[in-house]
Amino acid sequence: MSLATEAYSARGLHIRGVGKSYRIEGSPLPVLQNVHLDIGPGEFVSIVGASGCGKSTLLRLIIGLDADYEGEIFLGGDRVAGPGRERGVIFQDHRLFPWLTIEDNIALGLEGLEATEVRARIAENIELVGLQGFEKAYPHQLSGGMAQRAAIARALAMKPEILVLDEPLGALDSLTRVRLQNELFRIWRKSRMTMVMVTHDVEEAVYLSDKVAVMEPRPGRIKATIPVRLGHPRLRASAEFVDLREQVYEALQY
Amino acid sequence: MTDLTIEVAERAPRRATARIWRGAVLPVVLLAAWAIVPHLLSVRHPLIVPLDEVLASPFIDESGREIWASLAQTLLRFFGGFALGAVAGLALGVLVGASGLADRLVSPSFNAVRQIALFAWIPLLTAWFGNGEGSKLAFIALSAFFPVALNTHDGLRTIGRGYVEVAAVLKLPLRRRILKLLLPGALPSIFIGLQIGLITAWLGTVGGEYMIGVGRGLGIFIAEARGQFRMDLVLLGVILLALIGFVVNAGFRRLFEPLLRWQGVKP
Amino acid sequence: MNVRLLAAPRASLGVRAGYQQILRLRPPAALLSLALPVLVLAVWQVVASRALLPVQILPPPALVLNTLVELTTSGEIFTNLQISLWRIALGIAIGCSLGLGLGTIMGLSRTADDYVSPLFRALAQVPSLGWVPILILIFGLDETVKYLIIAKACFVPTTITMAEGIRNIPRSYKEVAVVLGLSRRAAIRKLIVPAALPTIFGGLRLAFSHAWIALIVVEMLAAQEGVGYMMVWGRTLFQTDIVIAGMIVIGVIGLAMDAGLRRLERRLRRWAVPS
Repeated sequence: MSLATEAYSARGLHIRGVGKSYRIEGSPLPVLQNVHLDIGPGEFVSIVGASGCGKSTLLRLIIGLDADYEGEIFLGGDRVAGPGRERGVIFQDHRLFPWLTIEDNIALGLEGLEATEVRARIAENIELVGLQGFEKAYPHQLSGGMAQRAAIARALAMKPEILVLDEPLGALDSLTRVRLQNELFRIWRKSRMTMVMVTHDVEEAVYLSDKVAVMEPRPGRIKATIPVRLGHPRLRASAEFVDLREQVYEALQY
Repeated sequence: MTDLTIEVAERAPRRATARIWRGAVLPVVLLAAWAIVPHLLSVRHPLIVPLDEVLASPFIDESGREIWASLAQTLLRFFGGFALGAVAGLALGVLVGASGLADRLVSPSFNAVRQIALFAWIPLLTAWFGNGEGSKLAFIALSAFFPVALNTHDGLRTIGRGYVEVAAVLKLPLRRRILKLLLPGALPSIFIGLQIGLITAWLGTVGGEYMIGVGRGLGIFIAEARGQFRMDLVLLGVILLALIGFVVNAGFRRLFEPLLRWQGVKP
Repeated sequence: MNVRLLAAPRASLGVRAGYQQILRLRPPAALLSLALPVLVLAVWQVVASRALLPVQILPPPALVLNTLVELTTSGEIFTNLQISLWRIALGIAIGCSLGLGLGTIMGLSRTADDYVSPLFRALAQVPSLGWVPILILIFGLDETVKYLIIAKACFVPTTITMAEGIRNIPRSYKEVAVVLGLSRRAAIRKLIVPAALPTIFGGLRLAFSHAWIALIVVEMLAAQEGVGYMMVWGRTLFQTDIVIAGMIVIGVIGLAMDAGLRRLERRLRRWAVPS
């Protein structure tokens, strides 16, 4: 199956020569150096790497929680510096506000919209993530997987151009994780959203993505970009899958 | 998440100096205004006293010079009364902390009596001991007594169950149990109790003097200054009140915090 | 766990250092808690009835009780209480709202905190007691003084707790607010206030107790009515029974207020799930 040709957004994310360093006691500590990555519209791209390779830093730059960097990050033709509602975010912890119901949480970013529109979006996204019936529930009443789905609904309700996921399934147990991977795939298919995901789970990356960017640390840079030209649904046990997985593992060795 | 901590570290040195400068702005401006503006006024209202007059009064002013002797008396009372109250508080605290029976006997009454706002005791104390040293010392002791007893008791009561069981398994004799388990375990709380007791006792000292109004001391100095409409002396007294309170608190912490760290306990 | 181990250190009225005395048959806690007060009352009664001390120093318990009843039925206590409570309500309203406001500013803006914090802390070092003579000189023995002192007494703890409550809001939630593009107003309404609520409430409880103490102090020094004044009045008349009655009233009210607030706080904590 080809890459999603009818992407939701026409704009892709382009990361060119991005670098960032911190100053520890006077001397600079480079965390990212000369990072290049292109993410086409509608693509699902994973970034994998061991802890400390800077993938979280890179993600924060894309999200805009940090606006201080060298190089260019472009969404289409616009330089990214600071947060923006066209970039939705899923964090590792769901970060739903405990004092709001699920539907209120989903509507959190929908300030300034008309009530009818808000209600429409809530309903649409509740259905998309499969949480029908839980609109009036509170986050503590949901399981980890369900709460993360609600977080996804919250991000998608704002109709972003690109969804950035920071180890979204890392806090879940492995059974839930597998289930949510399928959910994530389904949601990606249905919404045709561009997705950039950081994960330390190689299998997850290969299972979901169109291409896997492998980062190496000190300083962080993209070592290799491995395209995953497999159809969907993907069989984790198939030879091609295993082969790709091994490719990624090998690229991770240094 | 290692990224976040590095982020904080980077900002820290640059921020620290900026913070100091910013923090100094308001106090410096206000102090300067206090020192200068009253002098500029053509009509001198008796209540508007410039800073320099306030600071000079203990040296220049006749009434102002009395503050030294008053201060000395107050400090004596303070340390004496605190010692009394703290010892009593420690004793009771250890008793109810260590003995379940004593706890159930005494604590309800203790907590009930504790509800009575401290200064409400003064009329009763003066009825019993008159307006002399006795009432003042008793009040200071009382001020220190409650927080010390409370925190000592809490410290002993909340020693980790694990340690207590170890003591049981090792069949530690009473004395060793107290010395090696109870006291060190309760030390942080006792420390806090003493710290609170110090500041409460200090406020009780000057406050009590102020209320009783008879004799010699910082509180009485302030009361008399107020009676004579001497704003400069009142301000002087209040500044000293705040300053000494701060010094006592900071001094105590500086002295005893290292002790706790040596014990391997977090204060 | 070997049950015998717990029973082993035998009772010398045991120093049981935090043990639960599971195996010993013990009288119900309620009875024990009354033992000491009863004892004290008994001794008090004996001493007073034998007139070992003059009535002005130690009035018999019956007299104190009688006085309490009298003051209650004559409405004296209620009138005074009303005035006191009105003062404290006003003072708290002023002090706490100012405190919440300043605390919010200091908590939200690091810059504001940098400028204001040192001055604030320096002024906070001056106890409420210190402000009494200063304000009396400026305003005389007016009602204003009382409100101001009470307001100051609760202003400081409220500000500190509020700023802390806001600063302690987990960064992760703040990031969500940033990423979702919440306006400042929406962020305050949907994030800051609910998240800081438990801490705020703890601070309000603290402010209440400070305000209560300040009220008593100010009424003892500069008032003609109120529960604090009642005690001073009793003292002046050498009627120690009134003094003691006043102390009891003050203790009971203080207890009731604190217990009521604690209960409210608990209810709030249950509803606001921890972060």
